Amino acid sequence: MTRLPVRVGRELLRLADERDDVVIVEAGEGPLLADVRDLHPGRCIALGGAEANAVSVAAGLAASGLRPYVLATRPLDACGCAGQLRADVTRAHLPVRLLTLPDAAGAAGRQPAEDIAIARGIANLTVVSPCDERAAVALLRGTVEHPGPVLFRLGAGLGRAGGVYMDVPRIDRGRFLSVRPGRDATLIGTGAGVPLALGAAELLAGDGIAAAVLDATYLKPLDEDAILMAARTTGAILTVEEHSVVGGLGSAVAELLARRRMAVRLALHGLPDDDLEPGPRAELLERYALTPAGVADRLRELLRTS
Amino acid sequence: MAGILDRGRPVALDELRGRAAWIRRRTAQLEGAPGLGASPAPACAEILAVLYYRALRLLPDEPGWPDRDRFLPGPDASLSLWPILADLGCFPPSWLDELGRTGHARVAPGMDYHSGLPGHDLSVGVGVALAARFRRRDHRTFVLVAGRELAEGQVWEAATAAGTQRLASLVAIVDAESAPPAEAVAARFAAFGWRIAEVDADDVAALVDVLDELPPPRLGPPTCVVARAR
Repeated sequence: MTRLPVRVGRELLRLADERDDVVIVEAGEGPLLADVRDLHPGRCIALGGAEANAVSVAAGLAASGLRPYVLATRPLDACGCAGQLRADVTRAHLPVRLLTLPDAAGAAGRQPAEDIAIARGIANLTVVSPCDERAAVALLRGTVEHPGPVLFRLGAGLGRAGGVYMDVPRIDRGRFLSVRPGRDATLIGTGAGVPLALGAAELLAGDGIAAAVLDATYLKPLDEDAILMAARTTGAILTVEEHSVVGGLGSAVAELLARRRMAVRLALHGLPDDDLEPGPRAELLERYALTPAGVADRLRELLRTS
Repeated sequence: MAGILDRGRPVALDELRGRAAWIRRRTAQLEGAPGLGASPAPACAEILAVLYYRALRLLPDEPGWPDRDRFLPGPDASLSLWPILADLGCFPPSWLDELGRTGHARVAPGMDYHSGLPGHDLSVGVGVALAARFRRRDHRTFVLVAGRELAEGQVWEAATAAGTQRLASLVAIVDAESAPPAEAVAARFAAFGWRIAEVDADDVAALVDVLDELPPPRLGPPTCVVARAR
């Protein structure tokens, strides 16, 4: 079973209140959205545990003028329904919203390591990756009018206490948010990578290193201006993500910098392109140095290279 | 509304048979066009003839009319839709000359949806039928399922959803030529809560009868028409 963060559930209810074309497609056993079900009978469609089918069904709903939000009580990510996304949803530019949630219990709360790579490779698909619940709300609001499909990567740390933003931020399409200024280097995080980057920046400040932190809210379209500006002003970029270093945020940043011939110190911090150790998420993150101290060490190392 | 082609419009069986032959011929001609990977699947020509020249409620002057009956062609019938829809007046016949060339339209006015991947269109059809219920519209959704698609697990996910949701407006026509024996197809759909009708795929009179006698598109079992190959 997955857990839908409370604020995300409330925002979906608000969207259903406001718009009569919003329907929720639940691909799983349990009612994730009891409120929506109670207040808007008929707006929640329960399809059982068939996630790939749910994405195609959503294509049919969207082709008929509705705005379906697909969520699953079992883990559903871009890897599990890439064929349906590509053939049924994105080729026809249909306004399907897919909310991917990591498994809270079964696989020890782990995030898939390849889903961003798959999603980024699909044409016409907007990919967003909020770092906390308020950012998720902002992205749900900000994308509601978008005429094409949107994939939300709701990360494993999303529903935890605390968060990056005190209020719901405003996030324009394809824009990163600057969450901490700094002149010596830039940490670009996405999802759970953002609080890690902030923690690392705090540690680095103790060493006299002023690291800026950007929140990569949109992975596609990418905020090229923000990345190029970070490269020009700080000369060193470390990307931080709970995802494989192949095909994720780091790859996207590297592609852009290479394309624009930007000579900049760059390192990618994430999960290795390898069989990952089994175990709970917290242990996994520790093992691969996805911790504030691990990120800070990696940046110090980057700054030592000339 | 003027120009509506209503369901069950009177047309002689021989005319429908002639239409089927014409669909087969026109599809075979188009098949040679470059860039069109689709198979012409002449086995479904009678089904298409009965649907488009008798059973479907359509408004060719306004292909996006919300109350039109929908048809999802599956992997076998999408190519045949081009000459049919041009003939009905959904778009100028000259478009057919461009078919298959780089930059030609992938979807023509009057085409409701086409996934392009085997096993997906029945799921999409479930979504279209759910949307009709949600919008309180009485149009039907027909999906042509190629027999070989029954090997795709997703078809049975869709069949489960349609049965559970009691989507009486949904009609799957299974072109059982490349499928396991017809009895097994019928039994499997029946087990998922579908109403079953069986016909020979080229028996125009039987197809007309089955499509004339569909239950009203309200809450109830969806219909599976098993079109056996002779």
